[in-house]
Amino acid sequence: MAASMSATTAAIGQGVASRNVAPQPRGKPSGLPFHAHFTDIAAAAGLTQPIIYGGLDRKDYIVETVGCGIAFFDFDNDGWLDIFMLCGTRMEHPPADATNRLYKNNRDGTFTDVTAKAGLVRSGWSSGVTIADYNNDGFEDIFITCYGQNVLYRNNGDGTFTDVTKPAGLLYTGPTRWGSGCTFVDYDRDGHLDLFVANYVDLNHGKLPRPGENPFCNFKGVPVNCGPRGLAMGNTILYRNQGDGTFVDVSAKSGIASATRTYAMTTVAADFDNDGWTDLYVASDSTPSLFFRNRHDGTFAEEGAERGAALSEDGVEQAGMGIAVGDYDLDGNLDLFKTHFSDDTSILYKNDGTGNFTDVTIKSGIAVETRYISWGTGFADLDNDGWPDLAIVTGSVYPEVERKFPQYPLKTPRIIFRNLGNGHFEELIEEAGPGIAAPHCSRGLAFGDFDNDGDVDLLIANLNEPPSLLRNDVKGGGNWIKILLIGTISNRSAIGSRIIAKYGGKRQAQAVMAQSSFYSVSDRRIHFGIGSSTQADLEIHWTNGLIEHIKAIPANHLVTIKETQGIIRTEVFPAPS
Amino acid sequence: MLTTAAILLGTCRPMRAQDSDFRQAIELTQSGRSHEAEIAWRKLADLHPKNASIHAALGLVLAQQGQLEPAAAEYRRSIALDPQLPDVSMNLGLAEFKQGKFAAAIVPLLAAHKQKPDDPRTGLLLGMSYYGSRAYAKAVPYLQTAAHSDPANLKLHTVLAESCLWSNQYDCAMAEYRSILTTDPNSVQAHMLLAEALDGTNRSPEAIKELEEAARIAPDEPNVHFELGYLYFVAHDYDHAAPQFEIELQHNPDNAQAAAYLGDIRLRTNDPTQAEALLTHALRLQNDIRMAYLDLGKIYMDQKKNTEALNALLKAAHLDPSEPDAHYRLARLYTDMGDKAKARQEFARTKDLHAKAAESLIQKISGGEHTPTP
Repeated sequence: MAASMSATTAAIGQGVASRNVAPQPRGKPSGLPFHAHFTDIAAAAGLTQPIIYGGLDRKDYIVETVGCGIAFFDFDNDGWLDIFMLCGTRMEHPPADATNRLYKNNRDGTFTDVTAKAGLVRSGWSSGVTIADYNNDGFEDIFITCYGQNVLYRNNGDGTFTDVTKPAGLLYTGPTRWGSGCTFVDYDRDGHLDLFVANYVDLNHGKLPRPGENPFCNFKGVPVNCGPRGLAMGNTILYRNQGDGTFVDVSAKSGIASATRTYAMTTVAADFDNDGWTDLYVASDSTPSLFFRNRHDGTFAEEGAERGAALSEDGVEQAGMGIAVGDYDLDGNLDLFKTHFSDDTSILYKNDGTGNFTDVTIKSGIAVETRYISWGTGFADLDNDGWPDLAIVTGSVYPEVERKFPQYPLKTPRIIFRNLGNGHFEELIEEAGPGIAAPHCSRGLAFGDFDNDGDVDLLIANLNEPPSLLRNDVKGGGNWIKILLIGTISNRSAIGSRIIAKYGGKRQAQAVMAQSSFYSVSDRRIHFGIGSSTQADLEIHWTNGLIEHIKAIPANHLVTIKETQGIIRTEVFPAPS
Repeated sequence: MLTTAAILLGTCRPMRAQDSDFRQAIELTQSGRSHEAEIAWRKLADLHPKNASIHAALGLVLAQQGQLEPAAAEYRRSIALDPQLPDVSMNLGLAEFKQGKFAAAIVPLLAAHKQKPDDPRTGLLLGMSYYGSRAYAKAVPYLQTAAHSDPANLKLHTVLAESCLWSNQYDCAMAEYRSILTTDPNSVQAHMLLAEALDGTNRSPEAIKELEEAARIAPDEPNVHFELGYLYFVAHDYDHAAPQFEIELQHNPDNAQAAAYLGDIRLRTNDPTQAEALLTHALRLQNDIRMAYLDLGKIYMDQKKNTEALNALLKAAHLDPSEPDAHYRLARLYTDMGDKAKARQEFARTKDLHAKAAESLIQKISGGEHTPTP
């Protein structure tokens, strides 16, 4: 017990970085009512097929543990959110019907599995998904990453998809890669969506140790799967969309390839420094996270550490998994929130508007929670009070551990950090409804209003279980607006655009993204809770640099805005089914 | 153990002409008239410089008079002339041991042990010599044999327990301390060191119990509250750690480490004012506590006292340049100060240190050549 004074806080003796910090003391509960209430209606909605992913009570290899994303998107343009659910497999005895799945929204609270009809049946280890209209034909396309070949599905507009990986130039014939985060992004503002793809761990180099084979294949003394620490790192790739349905690898030319020392996970594309060009941020596991600043000339500079978004405040690497992008303090700038391993806090980075970030985790009250391994996350105004809240899903990667240490269960609850509006968040679990408190081993999380009733619902990928569909039943009378952007000069999906809504003296920024949370895709209709305000003004920063101002959007409406043409459609919610 | 004059009677082979001088020297030695004996043996040694027994006898009477260094020199002369002469190696080892020259004692004692492997005194001395020269792992087997034949010798068992503990043989250490506590349940040292052994085997809750017992028996014992605080600290139980460091500082305000840890806790729990006072105090007492410099750097950065922050962080970086945390904070500070070149340098160092650590792990764990390709 020689009391050494080393300040090193990074945990050793386990495969994932954790600072091993204790939670900050919780303050007194605010006592304020929380008007959002979540109930899991997945079974009733027909979402009964499990997301197969690795072994049930043991996982010998890291590929079994990471899991996958999930998506809310409207594949048939009927105005109702459909669901795309990724799936994995098993090392031994994989179920024959394990496949990614597409569920069509029946507009009555239920869904129909249309996977086979849509041509999306695929088994294997799927990881991430990004969805946008890469060919600007008016229909949302799908790109998925996998352990093995990634796949681009073109939406044919008739309810079917075609695998266009090969004709698009995305077929890869080298050693097997493990695709992780991916996002469509128009980095060169040519109106065509490019594609940024991350790879997590390179399993081709060296040997993959067995559980318990070395100190990094242990958790609390229990032999567990190894990695990512000690395993070779993957890389990040940027494909430029040539505008003719094909992509070309520009990783080296763009500077993306220079960032090689990372276990990259979720990726997001948004304009963080408010210069009108889309930047990239990558949550990296157990290595410094990456911030690629767009230099406006087709190249990027990796400035994560310099901009304060790579490490914790004390310079320690964290196990970056999921990312939320939003404006928690309503200063019009996009802040970042990143989820991590247990015995560490998630991190909240405040953006000063120039793309420089300050760690405000402790100050904001986020540091009260360190118990769970956290994955999917996002900012969303869950109770429509005008302040974006945070939702997080959690779940362990070591099913073996709970047998010896019940305090480290495989299945853990979801978490809501409700925004108190004063720079502070308050953690809610049971208070947010049974859907939040229920323990699951979750990964992906998508946000969207699947029942078009004016609030934000949650869709969650649970490993080796069916997904959760948490219907939000908001009370309290808070108003809202929803904005759907359609690019004309910019890419049609408006990925990379930023909307600043002004309501009741507040000013909130949101970004249109093609991936966030954990490997997931959320409703592209941007939802602003506006509290008691009855209208909002909009400042739209389109991807290609055009700024448009639209006044007096009436509360509780969905408006569709076309670049240079203004509002082209206004819909009242709740929408009739 | 020292008096082994009997060896002389059986082993000396004096010259016939000096038989009377020889007999006289023996008689003087045996009657305890050491100084006169020394003169007699010196005379004989001058006459017979190649006689190993005479040098051995001279060494003995010198040792009897407390002249250990010259005694050792005579023993060494004797051994050089006749390495097989019984007990001389043992006497040399003892003379070195008594001078605190534990490492020097080991070689002759090993020779003596080889000559008489069953002699318990030699084994004990060897074990003690290894212990004295901090070769704890080597001490353990000799001390275990000695302790086995002397179960009531609390001091010997304590030395054995410490040797086990400090050579990371925790099971052996725990067994010894538990045995000591059976005999003396109020031994504060035994409780404290048992706690250390338990902590070494990741049994922190049991270690805490032992330290709590030590604190109950002797609340004023130096370090007991500090060690208790430290165990709580590493378990991130700052609520329990802080009061222990406070008590330690009440008893011993000069405990720099207690002040530093308490300062760190104050900073973690959002009390930078108290943290600054404690950390400054800690560094006044001991100016090489890296964590204190690092924490002060952070406090000064928050206070926008850039010069003070810079000094503190530079010291932290100097104390351990291989840790990225100080470099990262320096980089952020230089950025705030507008010194872009230095900021760039420190960011590069931070990234490099993280990358090197990751690469080294990759080599260690998977042995893979990592040459990422786009």
